[in-house]
Amino acid sequence: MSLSAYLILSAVLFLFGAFGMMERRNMVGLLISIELMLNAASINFMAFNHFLYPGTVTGQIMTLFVIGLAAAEATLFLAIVFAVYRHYRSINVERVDHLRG
Amino acid sequence: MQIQLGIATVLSPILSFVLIAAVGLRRPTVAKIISLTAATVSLVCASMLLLGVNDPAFKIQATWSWLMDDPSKFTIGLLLDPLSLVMLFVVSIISWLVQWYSLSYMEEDARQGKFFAFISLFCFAMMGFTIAPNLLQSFMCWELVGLGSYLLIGFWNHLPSAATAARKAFIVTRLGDVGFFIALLLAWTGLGTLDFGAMAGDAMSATWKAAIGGSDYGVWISIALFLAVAGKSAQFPLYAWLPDAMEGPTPVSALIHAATMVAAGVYLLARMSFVLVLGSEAAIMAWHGLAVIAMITALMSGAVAIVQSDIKRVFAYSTISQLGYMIVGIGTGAVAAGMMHLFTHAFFKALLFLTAGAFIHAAHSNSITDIARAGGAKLKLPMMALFVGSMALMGFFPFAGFYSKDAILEHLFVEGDWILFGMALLGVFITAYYTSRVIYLMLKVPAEPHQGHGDEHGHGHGLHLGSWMKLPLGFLAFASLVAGNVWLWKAHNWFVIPEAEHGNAALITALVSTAIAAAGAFYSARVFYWRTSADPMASMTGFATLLREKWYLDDAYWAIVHNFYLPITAFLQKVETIIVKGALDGIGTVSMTFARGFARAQTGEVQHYLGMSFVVVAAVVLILMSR
Amino acid sequence: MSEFLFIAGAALAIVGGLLAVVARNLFHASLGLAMTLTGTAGLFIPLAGELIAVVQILVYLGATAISIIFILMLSPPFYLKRPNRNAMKVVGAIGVVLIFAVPLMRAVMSVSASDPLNHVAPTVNQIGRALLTEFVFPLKLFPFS
Repeated sequence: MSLSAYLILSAVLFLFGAFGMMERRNMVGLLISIELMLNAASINFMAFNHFLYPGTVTGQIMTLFVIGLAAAEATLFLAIVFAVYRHYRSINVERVDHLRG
Repeated sequence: MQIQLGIATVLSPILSFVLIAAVGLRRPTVAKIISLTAATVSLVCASMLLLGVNDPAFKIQATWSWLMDDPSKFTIGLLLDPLSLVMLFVVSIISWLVQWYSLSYMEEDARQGKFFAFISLFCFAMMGFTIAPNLLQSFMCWELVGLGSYLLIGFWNHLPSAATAARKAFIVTRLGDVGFFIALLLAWTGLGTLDFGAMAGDAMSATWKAAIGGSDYGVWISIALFLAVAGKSAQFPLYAWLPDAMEGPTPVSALIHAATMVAAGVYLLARMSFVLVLGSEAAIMAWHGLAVIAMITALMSGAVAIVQSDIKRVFAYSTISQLGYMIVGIGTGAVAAGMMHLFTHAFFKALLFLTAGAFIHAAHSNSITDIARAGGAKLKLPMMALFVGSMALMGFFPFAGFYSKDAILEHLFVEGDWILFGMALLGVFITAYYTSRVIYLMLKVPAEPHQGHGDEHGHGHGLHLGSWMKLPLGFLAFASLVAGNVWLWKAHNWFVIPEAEHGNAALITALVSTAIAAAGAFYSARVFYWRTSADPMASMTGFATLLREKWYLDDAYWAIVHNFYLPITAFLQKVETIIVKGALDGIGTVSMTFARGFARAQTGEVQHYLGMSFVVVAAVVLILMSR
Repeated sequence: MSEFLFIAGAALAIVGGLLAVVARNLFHASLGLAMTLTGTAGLFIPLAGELIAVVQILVYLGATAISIIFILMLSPPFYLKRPNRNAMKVVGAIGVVLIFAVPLMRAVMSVSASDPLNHVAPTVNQIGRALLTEFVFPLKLFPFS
């Protein structure tokens, strides 16, 4: 398979994630979309590493970092969701609009 | 040595002002000590300077560059010559006496510290003006004098009348100061220098003579200066502020009338009289025109003094009248006579005002009849002082006013200027009439049906003279007696005598003017003392009403303000409201509108922000790729 | 072998991704995410990332996806009637995504590379060595994130 196939796949996943980010009301839906986008980034790292710099490990290590980051971020997100829930009694992002001008 | 003395004379009052402002505002005793010490230093230095000089050509000038490195441009410094030494002495001695007197007069005032600080500032301004070697320093100190008079006239600023009078004095003199400023600019552009000595041309060189006389700068500078003099020295049509300035404390009135404020204009004329000496025919015409205006002022204000019932206002109008005489003298070329009258007038007018202050302090009223009723005639020293001062003012031999007024009259007589001479004699009559009127009214206590004789007697004993008032009154009474002789002994040969004396002109004018003054005093006695003639001003019709309304000058001012000034300001206010305020409001409205529009973009919903940032990132990336 | 793994993984990932963003039931969406993660792990094998594939399964699926399901307990109960989709919002999101797709696709199309011939997977030893030498600083910084 060529590099373009991987890149297109990751772009499609990224766009799905972007769509979800803008469409979901529930904050958990947002988190799922973020994970999708991170996943797309991981695929890109792996593909570039394999096709352009074979024999090195930089891309793979970046992917490891992404995975670790996603785990940490999910935990952080959990804390934020709790805080928002306690304040607004809801995790609907449309309700969280204190910055309205 | 003389320069150091001059500096000490001028700087000690400003030092006193600073010190009182720093430590003395709430400690009256400290303020008094500082102020009196500084005044004493000034007086001693000025006296030493005056006594140490005998040479008419004496002239010392010391200047320091200021504002620019080039010392030929703008300088401050001091110029010591006979003219400034005499003036410095007058200012320092009058201010010393006035401050001494104020120890009693202001003893009940809660803000004595401030009062003495202001007096010190005022004296500094006048002394700085006196020694100024150039027009620029003159102008600065001239404005400081205006500020000092404003502060002191409005010293009792809790009285609305005092505040109004201070404002009026400030604004009216400021009108004249426009003239000073124009003169300053004319001298700078036309002559290229502001230094008095350079302007006069130390060697009377032909180029300077041409510059002043030939190009007629002398005329225009003179006319502009006359406006300034009319404001400061209270000449027609800008004299209306001076009677209102009586709202200030009486020592301040004495200071303003004798030495500081109003004398500044006359002194400036004397300083600039080289224009008259060097100038063209047109310049001499202009100065003569000023003399005519001053003579008219003298007669007008003297006539108003006849109908005044407030003792200070009588003397205020008298001051305007006497200033008119001084300017007549200088304007017709008799600088020495004018300065001599300034010198003697300083003493007897200070005496009269301090006497009036003593009466007011004792009787708590400004009205002549009220003071008389309260038993003012029983105050021995003030009555004596009033008598001496009045004699000097009327110009009787051997009092000081006789010498100086006769010097002016004699000059007019010798010049053959019969119109001015006749008007001056009429002025002598009016002066004698209103001056003696005050004495007669004081002596002839009007019948008081409500009060018994004994009660009135008790009142008279209740009056007391402030303990610090005796020395100034006594000294000034003595000075009013001898000032003319002092001048003749010390200062007479200092000034250029323009004409050789013409035989018995001095004797003729002395006899004529004394006779006319005696006639005025006699007629006044018939009217106010023996009451054998009817008071010509008692009727409320015609001329008397005109005088009572002070020639309607205040009404004329008001009409001008009302008909010209206020419409202009109303128009400008509209401009301000519509254009300036409208423009600013427009800026505000536009930005508010934009802000409201942009604020709508801030929905507060995180997904909208996210979408916007996606679009922006896409746009940026596309732009970068297309390059 | 690699083509099969790619097609299977890609199909799994795309179907899962679609499910993750369009499913109205959030639990289904979570399962869609799990599908995507599994498919991605399969994709890593032909890219010479066997170790990464294992870590993806262990950490991503085992920890992250489970914590997401845990968060789901804060969402409104599924038996309640959920509000309808906001059509404007969907259209707007699709519009933004399409706008963003333009530069993204142009960038993707501008890159091309063929499969390298010397297909040598890095060993765990190599990765560990790199982590503890070249990347030790980001590794030590990582816990603070």
